[in-house]
Amino acid sequence: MLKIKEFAADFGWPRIIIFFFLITLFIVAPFVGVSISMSLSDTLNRFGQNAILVLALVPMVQAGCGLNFGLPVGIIAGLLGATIAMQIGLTGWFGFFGAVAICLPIAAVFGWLYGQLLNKVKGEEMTIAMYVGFSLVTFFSILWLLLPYSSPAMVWGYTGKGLRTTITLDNFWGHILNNFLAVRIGENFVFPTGMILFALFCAFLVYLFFRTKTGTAMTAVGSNPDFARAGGVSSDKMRTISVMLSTMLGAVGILVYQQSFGFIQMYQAPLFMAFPAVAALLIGGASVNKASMINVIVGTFLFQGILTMTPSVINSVLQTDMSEVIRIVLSNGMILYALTRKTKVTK
Amino acid sequence: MKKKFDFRRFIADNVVVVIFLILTAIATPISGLSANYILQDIITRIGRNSFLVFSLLLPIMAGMGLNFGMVLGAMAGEIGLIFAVDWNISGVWGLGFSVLVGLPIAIILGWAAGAVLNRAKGREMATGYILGFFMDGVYQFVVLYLMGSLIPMRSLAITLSRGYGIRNTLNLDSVRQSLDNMMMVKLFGLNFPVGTFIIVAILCLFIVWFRKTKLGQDMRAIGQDQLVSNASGIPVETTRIIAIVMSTVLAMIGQVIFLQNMGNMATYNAHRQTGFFAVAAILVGGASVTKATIPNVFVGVVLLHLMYIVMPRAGAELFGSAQIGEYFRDAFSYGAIALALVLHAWRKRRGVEIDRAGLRMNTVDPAAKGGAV
Amino acid sequence: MSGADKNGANPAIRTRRLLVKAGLLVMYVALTVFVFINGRSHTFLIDNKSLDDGAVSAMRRVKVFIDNQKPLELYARDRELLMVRGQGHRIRIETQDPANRLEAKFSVPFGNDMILISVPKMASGADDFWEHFVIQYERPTNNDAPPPTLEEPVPIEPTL
Repeated sequence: MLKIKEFAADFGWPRIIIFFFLITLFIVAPFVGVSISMSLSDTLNRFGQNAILVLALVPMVQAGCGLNFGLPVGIIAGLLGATIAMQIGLTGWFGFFGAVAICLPIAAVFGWLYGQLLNKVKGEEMTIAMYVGFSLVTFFSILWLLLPYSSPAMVWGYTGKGLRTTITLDNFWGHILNNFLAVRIGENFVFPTGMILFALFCAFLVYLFFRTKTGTAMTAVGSNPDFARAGGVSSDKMRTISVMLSTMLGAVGILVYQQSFGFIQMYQAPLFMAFPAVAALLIGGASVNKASMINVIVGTFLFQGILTMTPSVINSVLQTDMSEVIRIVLSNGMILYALTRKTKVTK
Repeated sequence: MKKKFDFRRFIADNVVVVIFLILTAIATPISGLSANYILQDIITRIGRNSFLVFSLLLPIMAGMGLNFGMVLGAMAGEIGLIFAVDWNISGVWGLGFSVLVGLPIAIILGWAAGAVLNRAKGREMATGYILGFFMDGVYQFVVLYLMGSLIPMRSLAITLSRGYGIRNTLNLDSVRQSLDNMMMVKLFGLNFPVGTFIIVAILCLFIVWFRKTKLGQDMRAIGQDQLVSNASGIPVETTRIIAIVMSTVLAMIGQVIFLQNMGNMATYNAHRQTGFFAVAAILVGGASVTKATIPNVFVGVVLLHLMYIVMPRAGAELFGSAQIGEYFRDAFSYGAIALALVLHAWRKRRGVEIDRAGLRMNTVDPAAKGGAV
Repeated sequence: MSGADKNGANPAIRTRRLLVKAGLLVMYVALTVFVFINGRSHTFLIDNKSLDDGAVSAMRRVKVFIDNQKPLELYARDRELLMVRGQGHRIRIETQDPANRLEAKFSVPFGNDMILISVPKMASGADDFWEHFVIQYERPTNNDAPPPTLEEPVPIEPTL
């Protein structure tokens, strides 16, 4: 009994509540006419879509840089990769992996610069990250209008200059991961094997990374800076590497998101993309200075599950669309809970 | 020699202000707007926005950083306005009614916000920001679902056709510009909303007076050093909460003033950018996360809004697209906030390092790399 | 510390604080009610029509003064609309036609938004010259779009 109580207190009551809430939704679903197979399929789809973006938060959390509200920096790098790949006409697998190849160095540079900035402001990272992200997204909104893109698939029809707000990936690499080895069971259920595999693969890579020397050093810097310093580890260098890693994962993450969504969203869309990712990570059990792969997978699944199920179920039950309000309250409430938790001494 | 040094120090301390000044100075002639138009717009905007910016002063004084949670007060004000319009209370009486109705809501929300922020010491700003989003969800729940169903609404004109929930835009004709018009003075071909100015002036006097009261002194002490204040018997937690409550109430009044000037209210969006604009204004005015004065408020409002007026036009002239001008303006506002926050955090760390070096009697160079300090 | 409890304040100070808080609360409620009653706007419809039962006939020409507002000039069978604020009102008329009464005071009861005033009836001296006017609002039929989501980009318009 004591063990259960300990586990509950540790895991956090809000998370337990969310978990049971999701189970309840799944149980109630068939009774209100919501197809479970379709919901499950949607949930898995959204899980794969968002998993890597959530994963991108882990390195910075482990290194003690807090929650990366500046994820838009990585997203912009990803957008650059995607648009350049489209511009030079890469399609299919070449398109996707070409975009990845292009965005990684860009993300590394962005990450390095961003990391330098964050190192100067240890302690106030989160708010600054937010506004750096906002500035960059808005600044790039200017660039999207001015840069010499010319591919007719991307630019405005009338003027031929400036990128469109949403660019469809239909003829390029839309859904390419999703459809890879997809398993179709029955009418409503499609398992997007390719994307899930890719997401799990990336998670596995990150997991391996944290078992290397650099990875362990990074974790040490985050959880026990004095110990790390005593061991000769430069906290600045580790933090910069964590930011670079985070930015690069963010870039890849948005590429995976885009191919599943089917569209590249430009201009102001990336502004608030960090928040759902942060909420998902926290729901999965992470805290402001500690996050693991399990947190990522469980959190993304729970969060996206709730986002998928609540509209359908609650709308059928109450005959009204409350999904928006529930989403806002849940995701932000989760972040609030994590931010206000007294940080415990390392366990 | 000394004079030159002071000048450079001044620039270094007020980088954000200087950058904004230069940018605006460049953009203004390019925009091609007449001086009369710009001046009139600035005068209106000062009246409209200053009160909101003032609400940020007290939490900064109390060391709680930029109170992004002021948006809770804005929501309280909006709820007050909804009721005022619903009950058909017009003119300045309607504004007064909104403030009176919003007062208990703002106090409760402010108290909750203060309690939450107390639990997130060291991360107040990010927490306040998220708290704003969270409350937005609660606000939507109340205004979109409860109003008209559980909360009786009289006027069919403001509720949605489905029977409950308030419409997306609320027509504020009944109270439109009532405060502004109360004492509109025409001078040099410009309209001065003296009524609003007087209210702002009263607020300034209140703040000056408040700083001298025991509560005000307590807040300043907490802002300087929490541990010492705690040791001298100041109830730190409660005083912090009171600072946030006052900030929220002021934000509530400020939002009512803002909306009466706008003339209509985007029910679900009006408060979205309130926090950002107020924070940007005060930072552009030279304030920092730990220090803000009354001149900061006015300088900031004038500069920020000046840029808001001229930048889109300048962008249109230069690039043929007002959209670019708007993006430019936004990028710079966000960048200014980021810059101000970075400078502040950086200076704080330098201050800590220099202090530590002092303790070590300068035997260790604070700039040494390799993980020291 | 004799009798000291919460915050080191003795009971006398605590009671005083409680009284002050209660007093503030009373003042707040009183102020709210005051503003409410005096701030409420009503619409007055001012009729110069003959009554259906023929008891009173419309005046040929009458000037109507409500409170301190500008006078309204009404010919026979005219109807004018006026917005007023507050509960108590005074109506005064100037006319060449025969009238028993030129002035009247009345108070709008709580809850009524629109009042129909019959000038000829008031002039004849009857006391019930005003009545609550209920209009059927046509429900606006166009469905309002639900508010935009948080995922949508925040519009850039200068909404300051």
